[in-house]
Amino acid sequence: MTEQYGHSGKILRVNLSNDKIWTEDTEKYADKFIGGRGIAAKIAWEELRPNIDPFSPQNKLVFMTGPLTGVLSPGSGRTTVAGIAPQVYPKPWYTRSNMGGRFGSELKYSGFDGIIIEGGSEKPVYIWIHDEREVELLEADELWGLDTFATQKELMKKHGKETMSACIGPAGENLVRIAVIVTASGDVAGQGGFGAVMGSKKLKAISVTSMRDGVQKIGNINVADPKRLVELWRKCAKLLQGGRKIPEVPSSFMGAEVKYERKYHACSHACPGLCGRGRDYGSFIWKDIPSKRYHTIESGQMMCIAPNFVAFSTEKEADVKIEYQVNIPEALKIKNLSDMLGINQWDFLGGLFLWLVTCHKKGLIDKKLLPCPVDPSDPDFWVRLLHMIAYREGVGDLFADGVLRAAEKLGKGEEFLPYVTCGFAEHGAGRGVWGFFEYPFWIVGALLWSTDSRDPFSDTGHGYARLVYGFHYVLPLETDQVKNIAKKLWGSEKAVTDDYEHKAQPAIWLQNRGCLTSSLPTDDWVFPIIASNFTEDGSGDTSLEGKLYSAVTGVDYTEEKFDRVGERIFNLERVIAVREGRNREVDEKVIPFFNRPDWTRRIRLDEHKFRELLDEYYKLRGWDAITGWPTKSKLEELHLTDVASKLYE
Amino acid sequence: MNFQSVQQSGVIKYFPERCTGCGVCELACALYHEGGCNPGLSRIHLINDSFTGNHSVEVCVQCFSPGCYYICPVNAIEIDPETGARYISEGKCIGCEKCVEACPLMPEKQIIRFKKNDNKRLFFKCDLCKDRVEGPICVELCPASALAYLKAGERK
Repeated sequence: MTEQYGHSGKILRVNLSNDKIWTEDTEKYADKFIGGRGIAAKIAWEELRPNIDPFSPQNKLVFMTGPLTGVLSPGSGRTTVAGIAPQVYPKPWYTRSNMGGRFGSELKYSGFDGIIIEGGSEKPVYIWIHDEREVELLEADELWGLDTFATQKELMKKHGKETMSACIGPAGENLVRIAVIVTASGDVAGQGGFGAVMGSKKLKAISVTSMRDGVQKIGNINVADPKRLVELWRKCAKLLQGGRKIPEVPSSFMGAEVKYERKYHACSHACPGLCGRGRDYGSFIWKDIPSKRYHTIESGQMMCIAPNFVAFSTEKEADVKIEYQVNIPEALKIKNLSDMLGINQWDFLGGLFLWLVTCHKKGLIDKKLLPCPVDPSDPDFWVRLLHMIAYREGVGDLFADGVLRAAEKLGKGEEFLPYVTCGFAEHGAGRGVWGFFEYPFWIVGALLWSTDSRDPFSDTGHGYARLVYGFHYVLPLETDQVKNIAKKLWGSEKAVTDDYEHKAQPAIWLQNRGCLTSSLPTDDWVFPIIASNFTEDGSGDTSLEGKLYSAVTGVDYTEEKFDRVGERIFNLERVIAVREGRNREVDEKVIPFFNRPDWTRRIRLDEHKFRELLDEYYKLRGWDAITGWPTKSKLEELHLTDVASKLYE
Repeated sequence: MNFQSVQQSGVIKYFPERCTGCGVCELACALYHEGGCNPGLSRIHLINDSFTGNHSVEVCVQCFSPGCYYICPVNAIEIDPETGARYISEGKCIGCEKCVEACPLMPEKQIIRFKKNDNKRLFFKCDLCKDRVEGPICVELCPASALAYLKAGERK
């Protein structure tokens, strides 16, 4: 066998119906689909029948790392999780999620690039991977019922403190459609409801104890050009950080003064730790915070949407005003509880909770429906609600199937559902609390939403926000700088100015890049480095991912060739979706949401112009404008000839 | 009479309050020394407990009087004349583990580890990247400035 670079070389397969364990070579997939999201799509295309029940043994759950996972590459400690997703509404389809932490890296140090779980077990089990490619399927009777933190700690006790586990809590066990897969104290594969897929297979956890002593060749991820990789690291660090130290931790949080210990925390392995930069949604870890109400000491991560457990306030013009403040220790307790039970915080806070409180204020919620007052400033309300969902108690049984299904069954408040499409709550869509884009930027968001299989703002959309607003590690650039960068990347400054013109180009670029980001994988909050505060013209360097890939694998890729791979992955995902019934009509289901007034100037979508924009999008994509299917010639051009012939047979 | 004592060494200093637990130190170390990445091949060891928020690093303190150096039966532990680093000369190590027993920080802390090569144990420990012009790679690449390199004269 030739020396492997970047990849560990093997993908593990476990069939839980017959306890069969075997492996296959990563090489089989890596050449055309790189890793992570790309390889997962290839497997789904070949092995997942369309329209199957996500909870049936026919569904497969794919955990996939990529060539950059676990090596010295910024933000690369991520793992893709994919399969038929129970969260999707009304009919589950194939999609992906991804998580940080160190689980993926440790998996690779044990000699596996990914795991494909198929079938389903009769009784609770977990998978333990240790030493060099040793795999055991073990009974999990004692773990079943435990929360995700307790499960991980128990597995550390059993298999050593370096053991990393990806596991589910009671929500996953009870097939809650917004159940997540958790690793560490809050690194989760959130969207999709893949925790419930694990639950349906009676798979409590996957644990990895990689060797710390006596590592042989298998556990070492070879890098083709170590010197070049170090050079590239320096280059990335310069663009991201400009050689500066990480700033002081701000003394306030969500409008309140912080009296407790918190520090910056890298939630993804090998992350330069730039999250935060003084912003509330950044990645911080809180230490030893005494929660008086619950008599506990809490530590843990709170980032992204989780700070909204602390405080929240809808915009001034909001139809229904929601405002609350919870003490930090209690909020951290609630946040930890949601991770321990294994509930998707984005869907819970940005979807279900908003809907529930809105309906309550509108007088639609019957007192008998909830056993406690709807009062978000009372921590007990949150704890009660989370417990009810995870254990499917009372009305929680309805909410456990997602609030869209609940609203349908209750026949109430459908007009207040903060959902864009296909079962995913608002995010970067210019409306509601997490809209963050103003007009006309949300038009790009609308295109991303219309053609993705999930909320695109986790591996696709943040690059655009970094450019037009300054987001995460980028502080706002000058307008002229933004225009120049847009022109360089997408051929016209109209990509960031004029209303509906030239919006398909950035959307397509971001989608292709999103595929690469989560196939390498690296972090969408970092890559592509589209803008920087440390260059004269504000531009970043979008060729860096390709260069990192080349330095690690030794395969020479130009940026152009690299983009083609992204395009190939996106098209393959589209064909999977088409096989599941996706067409232009489904894409246009985003229109009603965007017909709502936006959050800053109350501007609504111009339906006619948007349909024209979709025409342009399909044309640029090489898709049929009537059906929304990738054309045969496009697929062949992307070296997906076998896919094309199956689709058009 | 002319008494000559063992040469003083530089050392890597760690600031836990700045550490984000990213593990770049481990990856950079393994990459520089082994051409690949695996924390098990790193000479610096990060402990990242995200349940408590505790981060810590274990790395050789380059003892003033190094027990490992004195005990090695084949003189595989050498002292770098430039930095003073106490390092294991890979070609000489016979895998007897005497240095591990002599280390005052082990086994509580992972200071000296081994890799396997054709079932032979080869021990390794921090050598302060003695041959690297830019100094220790973990210090250079740490994005949080949580590591610093103190030369022999700067140690207290």
